[in-house]
Amino acid sequence: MDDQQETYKLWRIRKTVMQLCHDRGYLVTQEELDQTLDGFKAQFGDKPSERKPSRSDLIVLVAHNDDPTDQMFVFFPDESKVGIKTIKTYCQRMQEENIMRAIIVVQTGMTPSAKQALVEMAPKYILEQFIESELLINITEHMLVPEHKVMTPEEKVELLNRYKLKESQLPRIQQGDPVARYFGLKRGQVVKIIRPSETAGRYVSYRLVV
Amino acid sequence: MGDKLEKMKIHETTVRHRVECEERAFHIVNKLIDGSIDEEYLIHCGRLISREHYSDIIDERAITLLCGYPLCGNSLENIPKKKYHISTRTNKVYDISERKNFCSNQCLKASKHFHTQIPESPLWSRERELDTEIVLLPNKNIKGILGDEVVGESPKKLLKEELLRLEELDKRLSPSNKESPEIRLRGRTLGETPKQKLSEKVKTGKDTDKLPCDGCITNVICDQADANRTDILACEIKNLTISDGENGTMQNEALNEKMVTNSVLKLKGSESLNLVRESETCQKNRITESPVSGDDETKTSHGNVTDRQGSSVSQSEGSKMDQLMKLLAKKKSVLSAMVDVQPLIPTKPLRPLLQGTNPISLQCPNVQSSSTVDASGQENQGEAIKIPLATSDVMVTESGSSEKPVKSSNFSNGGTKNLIFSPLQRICPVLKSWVSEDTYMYIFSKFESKETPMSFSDPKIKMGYADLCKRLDMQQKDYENIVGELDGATRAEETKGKNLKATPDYEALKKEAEAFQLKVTEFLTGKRPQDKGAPDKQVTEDDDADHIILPSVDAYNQQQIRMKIVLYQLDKSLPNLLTPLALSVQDVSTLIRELVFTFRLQKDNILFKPSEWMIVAIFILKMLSRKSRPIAMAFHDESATKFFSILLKGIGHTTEDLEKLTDEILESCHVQL
Repeated sequence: MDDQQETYKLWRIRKTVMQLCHDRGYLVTQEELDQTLDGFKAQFGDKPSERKPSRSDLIVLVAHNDDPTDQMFVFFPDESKVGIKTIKTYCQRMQEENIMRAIIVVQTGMTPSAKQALVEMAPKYILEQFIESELLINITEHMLVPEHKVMTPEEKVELLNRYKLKESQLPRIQQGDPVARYFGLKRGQVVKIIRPSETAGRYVSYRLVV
Repeated sequence: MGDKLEKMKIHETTVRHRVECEERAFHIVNKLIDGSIDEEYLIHCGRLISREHYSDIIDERAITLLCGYPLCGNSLENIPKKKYHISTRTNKVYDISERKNFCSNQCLKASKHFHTQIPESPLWSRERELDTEIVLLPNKNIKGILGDEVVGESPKKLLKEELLRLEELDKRLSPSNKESPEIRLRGRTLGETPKQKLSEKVKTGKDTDKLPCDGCITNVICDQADANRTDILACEIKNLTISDGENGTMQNEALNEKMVTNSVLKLKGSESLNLVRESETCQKNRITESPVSGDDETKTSHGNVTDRQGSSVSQSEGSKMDQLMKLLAKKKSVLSAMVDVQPLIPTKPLRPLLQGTNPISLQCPNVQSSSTVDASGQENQGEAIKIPLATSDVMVTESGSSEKPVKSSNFSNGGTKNLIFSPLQRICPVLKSWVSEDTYMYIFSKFESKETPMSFSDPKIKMGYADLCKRLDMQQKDYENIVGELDGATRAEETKGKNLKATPDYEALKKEAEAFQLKVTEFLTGKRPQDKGAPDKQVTEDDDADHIILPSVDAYNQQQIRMKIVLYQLDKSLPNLLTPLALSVQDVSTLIRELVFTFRLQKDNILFKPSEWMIVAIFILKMLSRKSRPIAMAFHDESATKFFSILLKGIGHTTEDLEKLTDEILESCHVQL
């Protein structure tokens, strides 16, 4: 793969990551969201084969809009297949900086034990993994994907009260659903899905993450 | 409710146990990923992880640029980018995606070896299972592998598999030999020497795979092997080949023969030939050690030659000799299988004889010692052992007895007592039923084969045949004309004119009809009309004068088919007999063909066992020896007489018996007349 293609890929990935962080409610500047390919090249370089940029240069640290202490890392490991070692170094770094969340963008995949390591750390440190190819485009911008809005706990309570529902009476969405992964949903959260409808104009449904 | 709670608790504990196991495995994986560990720990871990975990370990180590084999601490350098490796030396393509995770081929092999030994059962169920010992591959002196072969399934491998299959077939073919356990035992005791024990020791070592490069058999044999002796032996073996009906066996034996000759050459050439086989090949199959397997595998194991006895004879010689004897035994076993059918036939009387004449059998230490190897070398081959063992005894006695006439006469006495049951006696009546007046005439026609009625070289018949061909040609033309008539109207008149011209006269038509009648009767009776019996004889002879005997136009004529069968079977068994007679197939083939044409073959008398066909072939050659001088001369040759006496002894007969029976057979047609 030549440099030009690689650079383009990295730019797309980083852009999607930025949008993802923005959609999750983390503070991302408008400049970063609108960054062009030329801007990316200027900032990082255009020779990925000579480690300009290397993937680890792309690392992102974002803070939440509402709670500046709630920060999130986005790691870009250099290895094509990520092993348990890499995961451990990332964990150390998170511990040092007291950051609870992280996203790992891997090139081709993870070893099973590395995945298991992610699960082991689950309650305290939340690590999510994406493959690069998943982030080349932003799926939520696709015309067939309806608008999803993550509801806050208060909104959820209100919803259940309003319709006199129990949690289990809501339609469901899986945690592994691409959109659910995009928003980093956890079990028990509720998303509000708004579809355009020919008859009603807007059709709203709620789904519980399982 | 309490019941439910109990159940829940039990369920919970089992689940917790499973989770625990998984966790433990995960920790082991973590540990194995970091640096190298010692062998004991790895073996211990083997029981606590699954295969997936192990492949994970390899992956993880490779990611951190460590050799995938946990015992190896080397770091990976110069990892190639390509996925396949084309070896120009072996002409193969290897998938090296696995190999990339290891520092060397040896590590890959060792790792694979370990991987296959990890139990496949789930982790939590292993406590109830018996522990299987995991054995690590010693990391020295092994030839590593490059990866899975992708292209070019090696012909060697295919051949190996084929041979293994044939061997299986062979084993199944000769179950009759199991009937003589006593003989087997005897063979054991013969083979019970310290050397054998030694060889067994070697074998056990091999079985556990700890001595991968040890040769298989001790060098027991033929220290003072005199080349002449082996030569004769090899000759005997070669000629004793009895063609079984199975095609596969034929091939197998042919291969064996080739090897035997090979080995003899080698034995002659250099006493201390130092070729070593890889133990694996020897374990699997003796045959595979033919020229085929002599590649770099042997080279690598060269350094590990163990010259245990310090004698000049090397292992390879031992195994070759071993093979030689095994082969001989096999041939014998086919013959003795025939003998075994009759309970009275003296395989048992044979043994006391042998014991009584121990010195005789000692006269040929060569043979005996190699039979020892036979006994020992095949212990690990399961079923296959029994067959050669059972017969090796017989074989030894025979080679012994051939040197002492006293014994052989003794033996033949025993044989003639039970003559009624012998295969020769069984075959004789059948042959008698074959022999017709024509045969007699053919045999005693003073070397003039032209006189035979059925011979194709007969000018009369040739003329008749030509005539028939002409007529058939005409018919064909007529037919074509008719077809042409349908085709075009313009040509119709022309052809009509021709057609009218071609009309045969009444006489010719009558002749044709008669000939056809004859053909029909031939077909319906299934044999030639003159075979009907004495009263008809006169008539048919008259007919012979008038009529031309037509060669059969019907390819499915039963008589023809029978002849074909007989000739085919004879062709198969002949080569074995012709070698000792120093005759070529060309010398006898026409004679045999002509002789068979004179036979009266019936549907129920052309069925024999493969080994019986050999005897039939002997009889036919004997008959021909009355007619043809070269064949008679060949029978009087020294090596031939020896060969036949040995062969016949195997079934309890002497050459005189053969002579007598041949006479009887030939006379039988006179009795019928």
